[in-house]
Amino acid sequence: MPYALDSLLATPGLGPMPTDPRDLRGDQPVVPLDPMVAEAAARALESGQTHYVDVPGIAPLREATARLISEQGVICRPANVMITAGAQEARFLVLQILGDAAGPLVLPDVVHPGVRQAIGVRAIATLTVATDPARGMLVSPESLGAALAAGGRLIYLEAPVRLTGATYSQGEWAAIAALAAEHGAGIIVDQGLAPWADGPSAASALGSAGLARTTLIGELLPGQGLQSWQIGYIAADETWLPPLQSQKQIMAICTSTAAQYAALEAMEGSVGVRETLHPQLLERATAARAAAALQGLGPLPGGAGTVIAIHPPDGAATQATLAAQGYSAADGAAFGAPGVLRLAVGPETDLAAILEALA
Amino acid sequence: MTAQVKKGTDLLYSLIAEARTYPDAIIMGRGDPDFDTPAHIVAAARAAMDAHGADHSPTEGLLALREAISARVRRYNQIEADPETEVVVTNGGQEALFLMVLAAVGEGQGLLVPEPNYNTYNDALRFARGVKIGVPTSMHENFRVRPEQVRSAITPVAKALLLASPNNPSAGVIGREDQQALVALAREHDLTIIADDIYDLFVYDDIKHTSTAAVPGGRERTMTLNALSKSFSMTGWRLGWVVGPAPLMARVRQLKAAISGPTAIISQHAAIAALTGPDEPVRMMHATYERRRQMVLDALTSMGIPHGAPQGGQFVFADIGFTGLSSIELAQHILSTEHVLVYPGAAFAEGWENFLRITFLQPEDKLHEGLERMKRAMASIPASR
Repeated sequence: MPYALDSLLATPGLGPMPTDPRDLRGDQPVVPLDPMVAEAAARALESGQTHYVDVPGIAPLREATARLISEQGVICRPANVMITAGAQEARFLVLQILGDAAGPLVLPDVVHPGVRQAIGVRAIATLTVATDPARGMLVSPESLGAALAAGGRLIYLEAPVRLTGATYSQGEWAAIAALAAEHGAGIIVDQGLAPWADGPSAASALGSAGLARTTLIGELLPGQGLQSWQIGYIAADETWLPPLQSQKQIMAICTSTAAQYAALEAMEGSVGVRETLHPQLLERATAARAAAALQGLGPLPGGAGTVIAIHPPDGAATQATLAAQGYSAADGAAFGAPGVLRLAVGPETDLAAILEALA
Repeated sequence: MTAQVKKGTDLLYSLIAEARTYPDAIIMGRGDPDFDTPAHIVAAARAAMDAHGADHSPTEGLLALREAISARVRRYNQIEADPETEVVVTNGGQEALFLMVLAAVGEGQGLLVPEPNYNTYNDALRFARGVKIGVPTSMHENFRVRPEQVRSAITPVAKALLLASPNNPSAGVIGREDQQALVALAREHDLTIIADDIYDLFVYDDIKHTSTAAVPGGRERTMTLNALSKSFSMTGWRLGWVVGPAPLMARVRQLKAAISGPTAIISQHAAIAALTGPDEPVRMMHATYERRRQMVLDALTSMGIPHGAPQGGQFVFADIGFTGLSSIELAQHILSTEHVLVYPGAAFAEGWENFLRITFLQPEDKLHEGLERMKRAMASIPASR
């Protein structure tokens, strides 16, 4: 039985995410669940929170998420927030609904595989812009300007870049914001890795225009043990929420109540987890990048503490060597960067030592 | 009356929003059972948080859950599904529905839909840029899906056939003989079948449920959805599934990866407990719904509202054409005057403007009060109509 979209759906993904420390394909730290978070979720279920809830999420979680985003430097109200079943659902919704309504989409040629998968479900007009390997697969404001001049109306960026962890500078954000304003374009930013980077966040850099032009997505509370509870968010202008909400209703009605109450507890009760983990991961990523350079593995510039990317002379051979030692890396080809490998930096993994052992 | 300008799902949500403004509202519209999730399932979820809260799941779901689903569909539906390749766990029946429509129907392709139909099928089909090919049914035949009606509706773009049994909102059940004829028709025209079994455990009056995929020739072309929302009162957990032949399920799995990724881990562990645990909660709910269904039918009869004999589901679809009001007008009248939410038939499909869907998912005292209020609302319909 032939289907019209088979070729689009052949787009490679990353497969299931890590289950053990030797699996280096992930981009968010895998940590145990805080017992207090589990307790809060269990209490909510035991008190009867087992029914449908509002499509955009339970009110206290939307309020807490709005506060979290506002702390990044952009005014965000609960009415701007929708809770999603993980980052991929957020990606799918904004790419399909905003892309269809406000596109064509301007897409970097290196992005998380989930982006191409989401667009593959239903054709969306896109313009592709080249990324710069020498800058960790960032796109330049100049190339974005050219795409907007060619008709692009909705820029999709990752900040940090999901493959490399590279981040945009304050000056680049200012230039991107000016270009978007000049062309009447919107900007979608996947800032899921932002908690693990020190550069200026998209929210803070683009905050002067509020969420009028910018839509933010990502995992909610990464690094707090909720990685498999599938909890993400979209923060968007209030005019965008109704169509996003309608589509979410069509797709799933609402996000798991247990996950929402767990996230609420994690947000309100587990202060300090990121503060402890973040410097440790940044240090490990820096050490791993140095080790990769010493081994001639071609580390790409990065910035986030949870991943490094390498472009070795023979990517397949390096992948095979890692596999022989029981490690698996994310294949850059799935991101649009053949030959590049992404390696997770986790709290339980000494990546620098692993790379040194490759010699 | 803002509801008047809205359609389909948006119409229903605008009515839900209005109902929330009334502190004494009685909800007889939305399909959310009033029972909380059984305690043994919640207890299993709590235990799983400690033991498995940080585990990862493949996109298609934990193997242990897929095995439990495979056993469930074998036991209740007589469907064989290989847990390795023929089961995908979803974010509720709603996502299962969305995935199946996208897997079966591409841009410009047609889905044969017996009407009335659950409104989200219209929405999913619109997203897929597909074409709805309506197949009429009639209350006077208990909304039977006549194979000859389906045959006459088939057009060159038809690629798939929706068979929801029991149907939402009509509560009609497709009997075995009709299932066999419909499967034969699908084979003849190479149609993929989307089977919606979400109310399979809720049939009444000695009606037997037959799954499309259990009919000879059905399995190899049928994707079947189900979920725990209705059977175990687990609407908030968002846990459903699709089973079907491996080639179709590979496509469902790809779509699931593109749309949302794996289903939340704790919901999956709760589902294992539901599917491998005692059946008593389902039997208790069935017995309760059977009593409540009779309450609704008796009340409708006393109001002079024709309703047929609903065979399954958790609702009654009743003909209010004699009132002279459209279903939207009447639902709005009942809501604004008596604060009782029922769903207008117009939200489900065109041509059903004269029907209301009334659920029996409230405790019996509340349901009784809701029906009494509805009677008052019916008696206060403006005389000019």
